[in-house]
Amino acid sequence: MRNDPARNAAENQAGFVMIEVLVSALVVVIVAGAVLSLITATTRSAAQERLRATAYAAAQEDQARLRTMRLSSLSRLNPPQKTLVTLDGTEYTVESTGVFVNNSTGTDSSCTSEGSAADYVRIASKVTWQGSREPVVLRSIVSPSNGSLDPNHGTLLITATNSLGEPLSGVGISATGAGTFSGSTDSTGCANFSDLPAGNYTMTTSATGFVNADAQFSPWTTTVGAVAGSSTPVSVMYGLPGRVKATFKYRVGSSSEYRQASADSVVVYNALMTKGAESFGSPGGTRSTTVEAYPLFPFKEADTVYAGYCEANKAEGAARTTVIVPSNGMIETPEIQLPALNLNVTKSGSPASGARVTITDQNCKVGSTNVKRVYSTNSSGNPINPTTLIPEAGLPWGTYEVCASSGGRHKTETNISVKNLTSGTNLSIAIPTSGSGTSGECP
Amino acid sequence: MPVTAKALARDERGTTLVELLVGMSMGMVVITGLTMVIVASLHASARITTRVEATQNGRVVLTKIIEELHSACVVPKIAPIQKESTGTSLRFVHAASGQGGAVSPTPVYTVISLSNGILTQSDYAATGGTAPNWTWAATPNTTRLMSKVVPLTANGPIFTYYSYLNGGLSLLSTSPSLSATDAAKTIEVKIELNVSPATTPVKDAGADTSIQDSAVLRLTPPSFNENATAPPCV
Repeated sequence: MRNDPARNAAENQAGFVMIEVLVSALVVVIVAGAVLSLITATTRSAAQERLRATAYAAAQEDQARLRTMRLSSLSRLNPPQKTLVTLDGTEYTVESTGVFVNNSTGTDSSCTSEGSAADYVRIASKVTWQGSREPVVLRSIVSPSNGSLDPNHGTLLITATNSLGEPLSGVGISATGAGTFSGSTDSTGCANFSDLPAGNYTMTTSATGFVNADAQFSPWTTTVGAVAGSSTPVSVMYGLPGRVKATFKYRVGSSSEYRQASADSVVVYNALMTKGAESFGSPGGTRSTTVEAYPLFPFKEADTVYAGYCEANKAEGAARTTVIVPSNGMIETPEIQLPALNLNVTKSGSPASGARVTITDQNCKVGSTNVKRVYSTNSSGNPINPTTLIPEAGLPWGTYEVCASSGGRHKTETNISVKNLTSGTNLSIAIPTSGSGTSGECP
Repeated sequence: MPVTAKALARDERGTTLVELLVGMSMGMVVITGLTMVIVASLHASARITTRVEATQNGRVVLTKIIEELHSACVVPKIAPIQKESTGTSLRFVHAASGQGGAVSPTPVYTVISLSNGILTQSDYAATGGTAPNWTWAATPNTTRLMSKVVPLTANGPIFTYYSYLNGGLSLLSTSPSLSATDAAKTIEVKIELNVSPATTPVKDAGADTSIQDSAVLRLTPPSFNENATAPPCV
């Protein structure tokens, strides 16, 4: 019986009904799921629309509230004032903003519209709620009528830019004086303080990591004045500090050979520095083959760099170089050529080895003391660095008093001009062995 | 063994009763689930429809009242809100319909009041007199604005009145009603209503909707001096 093929065939088909039912049930569930999600989406969007309509009402009401406010209070709604409103069981956040707007441009009274007073206040109410995709925003304007603005008040328009004139946002501003105000610059680098009592203010600005034109880190303090009935533009410029690494060389005699030189300080100058040239390094201290100048404001125009510490060291020709300081970076300048002082120290007719040599800058002082550099001499009687024992002939551009001493006797030569980049300045000092006024070592 | 006609007939015997029962019961389960889903979604859809209807009805009426309040300053420096206004009764003067843009619009004295869930508007036409001492017709023209209206809170106000005080809004007392002094300095009226749908196809406690809006009765911003007064229609 079990081998009856017809019966076997019938038995094989016996379980199919269940599978068919299961499959069809699955199909029905899938279709139902799709329909259900469609219904859910429709319901959700309808609910969103209802929330939107309520949010719109809340925005409209906020606009009405803003219209009853004084202009001075309105213009201070920047950053926005946030209030929470519960309507129909849903919590809405209402952000009210008031910004003085310029009539000629129709935009926020930005700092670019210099000198033109703000014409009216734009009031905006932005309403958001949990799950809101797009906020509801209502905008309107309030124009100042006679008497709505204090005639004794003025406006300050503060612009913060970097050295390239690009706007700096987020510069913190606070001020005290005839009144007080605080805020920060917006994405256009502008901060607008309207309706301020006229008078002078001490304004403190700050931006972490930035320096001003005089390479001072924040906070910076400036005095600004608000003029009654008008807008006063104030520009501030800050940048991320750059670094300049100067290296030095001097010419050996009038030959074509140059040797690496050492210096102890450099001066960096730019016409836009308000406090004049800035000096870096340790004048009269350790001399090194590189001197780093940091921090420096990254001016758009090139800075002048020369060795030395004072304005008197302001060199000419190859003894100074110009560099454009990079913003937030470092630049290695071309070598600065130092004019050479080819000093030859002798005693009793032969080169004085191990003599003490002091070279004092006659026109450059640190405090009340002239900058003095100390050397030793090698077996040829030429000055060497007392620490590294490397011959040193390069000096910052200037006029010097040179003293050489050995064995309790010294000799001083004054008004030695070291400004020759072609052949250097030749000087021979013979240390005396006797004579009045020659006793003692060089100071 | 060859397939015989008898064997073939036995192969086509169909489903057993058990199989049929199981199949049907599974089908029933699926169909029941589906029906429940459809019924629930129909309910939700109906609830939204009624809410939308309530919102629409309420919004139209609210807009009408707000527009009338916005055309209330028919003459400069008058006080459009009248004394004896209460939380459920708003009395004010405004430009007659269609005259909002006129140089000297004809005023109308309007009383909007809520009674037994019905919001009605009574308009008294001007019969003579000059601002602000107009004379009004004795008989109003009364229209029903909306039914099924309740305050947001039980026995609470639907109209609230504000004056300007020390640089901000200050709520005015309506107990028992707005005094003549307070009416003269009302610069903002806030309206808050709870509206139920006119028809209720589905019983749903959440079908009513609350709507609100405010009208400012000032034409210019207040003085820079926060102690200065800010009367209406200035």
